[in-house]
Amino acid sequence: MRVSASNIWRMIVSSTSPETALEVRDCVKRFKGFGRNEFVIAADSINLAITSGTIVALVGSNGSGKSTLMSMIAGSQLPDSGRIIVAGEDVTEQPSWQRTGKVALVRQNPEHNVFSALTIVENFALAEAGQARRFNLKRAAGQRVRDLARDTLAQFSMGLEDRLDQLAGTLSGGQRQAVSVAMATSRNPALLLLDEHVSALDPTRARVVMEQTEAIVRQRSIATLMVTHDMGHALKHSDRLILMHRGRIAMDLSEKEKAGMGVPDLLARFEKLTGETLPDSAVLARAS
Amino acid sequence: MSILLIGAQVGLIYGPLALGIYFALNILSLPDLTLEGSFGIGGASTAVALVAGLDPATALLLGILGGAIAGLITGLLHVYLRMNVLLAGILMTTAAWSISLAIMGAGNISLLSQATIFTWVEGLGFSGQWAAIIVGALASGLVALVLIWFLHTNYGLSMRASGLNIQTARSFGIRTEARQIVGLIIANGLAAASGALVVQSQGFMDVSIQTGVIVVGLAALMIGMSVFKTPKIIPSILGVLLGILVYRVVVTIALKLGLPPYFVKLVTALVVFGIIAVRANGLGLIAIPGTKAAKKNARERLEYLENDRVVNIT
Ligand SMILES: Nc1ncnc2c1ncn2[C@@H]1O[C@H](COP(=O)(O)OP(=O)(O)O)[C@@H](O)[C@H]1O
Ligand SMILES: [Mg+2]
Repeated sequence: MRVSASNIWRMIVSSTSPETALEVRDCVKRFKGFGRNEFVIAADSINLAITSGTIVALVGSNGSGKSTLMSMIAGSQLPDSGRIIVAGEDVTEQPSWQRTGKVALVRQNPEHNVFSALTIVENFALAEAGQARRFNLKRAAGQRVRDLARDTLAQFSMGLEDRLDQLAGTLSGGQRQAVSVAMATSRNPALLLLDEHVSALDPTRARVVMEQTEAIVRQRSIATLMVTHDMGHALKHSDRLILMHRGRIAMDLSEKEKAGMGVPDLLARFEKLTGETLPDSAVLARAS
Repeated sequence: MSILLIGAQVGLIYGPLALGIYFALNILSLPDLTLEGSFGIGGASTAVALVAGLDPATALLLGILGGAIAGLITGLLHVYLRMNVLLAGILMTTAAWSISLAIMGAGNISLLSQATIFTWVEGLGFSGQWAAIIVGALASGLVALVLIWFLHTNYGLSMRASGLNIQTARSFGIRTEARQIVGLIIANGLAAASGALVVQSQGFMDVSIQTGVIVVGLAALMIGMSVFKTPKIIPSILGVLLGILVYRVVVTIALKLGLPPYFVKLVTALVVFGIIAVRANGLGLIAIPGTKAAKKNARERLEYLENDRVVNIT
């Protein structure tokens, strides 16, 4: 494992004065519906601040606007109004490709996170060059990138570090998600966004990838916003839990408030607050 | 043997065009028809430059520049006017016809008294046929080597990424619109290089040389992609060059068998049809109904139809 200077710096800073990794101010996003003046309000004036180095779980029913919020932060969707500030810098007007140094997003579908037609090490070379946005005419996938890829992938103990020259498309979904997390975290982003990044995997693999993701994020002290349908995981493995409903933040539980809370308590609170039930992957798995 | 030589003689100068089509279609995933117009513009520019007394190498470079500008315009139409590349390419190719005529100032230009790259090589003591093969092989080989190098650099890799998935590429920090513009400049410059070489080789320029020429490159691409079915760069590029030779040999044989020259374009289209049919259906195409192979083919066709999508280019 390598500890970069910026990493140490972040650890020192975050241990003395908690700085803000993300600030979302009054963000609104509407989508046009099928009717003439019909709109779907996916984000309804969202306000949110995340302290550096903390892991925040984001839960909510389907269509509550979680992915829209993630996309607005990453820049692939633009808010109708409001501001987005990452590590003190207002990025609202920046296209997604300019935000890569600050924000990393891992999506649910592995196809959207890695290039299947490129080799693993070529994927890493792109991630490396993209971090500094230095796409030059030097040979990609040189020794330095290979070493970086090998080191970061070894953390997942999946044997991926020995398959650097294979096409990423030959990997399973779980392996590709592991590669995605490895690439995202190796860039040391100020903010890591995980949008249901293990929900397409079977439960065992999901747990392996999830646990390893958390270990790396904790070790590198990367501020993380993670969407999950696993309420038990959300309660146990986060420093804070946010619940979205119809484009709004309906509940925001601090570490203290969620301590001692069980999944049934959480579901009951959600039902009382919104009058609707919340899908929990564990409950769904038991029912099927 | 003589058929192979004729194939190489006529075919290799189309290598840059075929690689340009490979670059646009496979690397960038942009169905750019401007390539056809750029081929004509490349020919027109080189012809005018030769008549004006420039040396053949400079004339070739001017031809490439003409194509590159056409590619740049298509890229700008796509990025700034938000125009579909297919549509932009159709319009550009139509416009290119007039532009070529405007560059030439006449319907055709004869270069019989001008020195060309080919007469240079003949001056070294080679026959006309071997001069054509040498120039074609050098041009194709050089373009292939440069592309192989380029596509393995950080910038080249970012270009491949832009052609694979725009959203993912952007999330990797790649300004995809810039890659598309640069890529279209490269692809069209290559097409124009072939146009310029063809004009220098045949000793005259006629605006109709561009008509349907994209299908020649497409045939090479399809043959090449069927030989090595891989997304890897080196086998793909070698496959495309092999494809141009195979295609030309097929046409040469067809002509030797007494096919009238005006059927060449029909043969070209049939070659492409045939390859795509075999690639998509394999032997299932001729399987006896009721057999396992026929059933597999039927299932695959159903899958294709289920996954078919409409593309609205307006
Ligand atoms: N591109 C889009 N076009 C139209 N409506 C969209 C689009 N993306 C999301 N929506 C709508 O916005 C709402 C929030 O969606 P999303 O953010 O994906 O929810 P979640 O990730 O919480 O399931 C949903 O009603 C969805 O239908
Ligand atoms: Mg979602």
